[in-house]
Amino acid sequence: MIGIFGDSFAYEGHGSHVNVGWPTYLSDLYNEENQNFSISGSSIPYSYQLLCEKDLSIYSKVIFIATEPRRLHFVDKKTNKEMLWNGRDVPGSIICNSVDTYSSYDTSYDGVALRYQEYITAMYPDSWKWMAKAMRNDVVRKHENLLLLDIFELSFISNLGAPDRPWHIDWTEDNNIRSCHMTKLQNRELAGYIKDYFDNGFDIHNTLKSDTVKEYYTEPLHHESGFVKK
Amino acid sequence: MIGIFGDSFSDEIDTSIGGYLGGWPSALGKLYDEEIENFSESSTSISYSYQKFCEQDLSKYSKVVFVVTYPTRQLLINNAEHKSIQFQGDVTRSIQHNKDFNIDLTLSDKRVLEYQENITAFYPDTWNFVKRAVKGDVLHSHKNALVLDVELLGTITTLGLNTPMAPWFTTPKGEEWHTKYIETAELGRVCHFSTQQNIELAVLIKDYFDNGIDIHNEIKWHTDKYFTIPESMEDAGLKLRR
Repeated sequence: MIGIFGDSFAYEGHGSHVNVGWPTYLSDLYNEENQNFSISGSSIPYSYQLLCEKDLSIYSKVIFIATEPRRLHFVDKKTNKEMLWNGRDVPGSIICNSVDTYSSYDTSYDGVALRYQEYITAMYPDSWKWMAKAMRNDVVRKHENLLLLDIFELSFISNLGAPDRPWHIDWTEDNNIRSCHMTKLQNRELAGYIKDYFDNGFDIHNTLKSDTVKEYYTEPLHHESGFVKK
Repeated sequence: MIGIFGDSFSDEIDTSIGGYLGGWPSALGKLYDEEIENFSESSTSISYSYQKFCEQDLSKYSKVVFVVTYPTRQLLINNAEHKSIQFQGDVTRSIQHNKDFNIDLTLSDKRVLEYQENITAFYPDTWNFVKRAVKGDVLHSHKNALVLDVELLGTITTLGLNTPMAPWFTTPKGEEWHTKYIETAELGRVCHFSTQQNIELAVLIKDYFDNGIDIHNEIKWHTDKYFTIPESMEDAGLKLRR
């Protein structure tokens, strides 16, 4: 079994809206099932908490996607409530809290707290990098076969063939062509490199740099890239 | 050299009467005949201590003691403006604390603190996993590291409270001890412990490093075996608040 923790860069949808990406392709390559706890808009603390709560011995491999440090995971144990802050804005955070959850908490959102956090984030945007650093450092020691990928690395794949940044304002992604913010072909390529990392110690991080990414991942033509004008 | 990181539970002080008052960190240095480098600051957050920890070359330390404080405290950072402020758990204490650090708070900063106080009240368990991650990373980053939680150290601070062993140390039901008593460095109290308790803690920490004693369980379950209950307010270094 392969364990996967992260945000939209590893989220394949749910129920009738499954949109196959690199997690499924990786499972196919290994002929092993996966447990994917990724959610769009989730935070490092959200994924870290899930990782800490799971019995990791059931996994042959673990992949942890470290997202933006400013994303948070609010928790109140007394009322059994949790809420995700997407690091950017209130509307986007509300969507994050209405998609899926893998925790046992009530996830109805709290608009007041989100507005407060929006203000704090605007004023002091770099407050959570030390928290994120501690969690990332601790994650890599949790399992002997663990790969930590950063979304800042993965976004170099996403940006191949993408409209001018910030593209998410005017463009959306076609789920028939893209999954996990990559084309289907790029998802397959990433799955292959992840397997090579686990099997042969391949330096996958070297494929995820601005000046190397084109050598390893296919840059789609604009009409094949899966970006749709809003 | 011994590296020490934390908040007021490890912050040694210059007293108002002009002398330097050492607590368990200095006592530990003396026990080992080693210098100490103490980055502790009263009222700071886990992130503050962790940042200091990450910025050091840890190889120069023979031992590291990291005091992990209340996780709701925050270090709020804006790199572009080279500015940071501290949230200490509530607005009033945070304003005072930033003033102590010579940080001028704008009206917007005060609003940030107010909002942080509200979020902390709504979602008080948000930062528990930060504590866990920092503990885990500190313990793995240095082969001779000890992490002490202030919740645990607080059991030494309140030793004897509301018991026949310390009839001078009482609080009405539902009140915290520090609403009645004030700690005074002039009477030798530092790191929230009496002079004697600071020495005893240093000895116990040495026993942990030298002999692997289970210091957490010993403090938690056998506090009165290792630590002396002060005989009076003066002995404890406390005064009544007016």
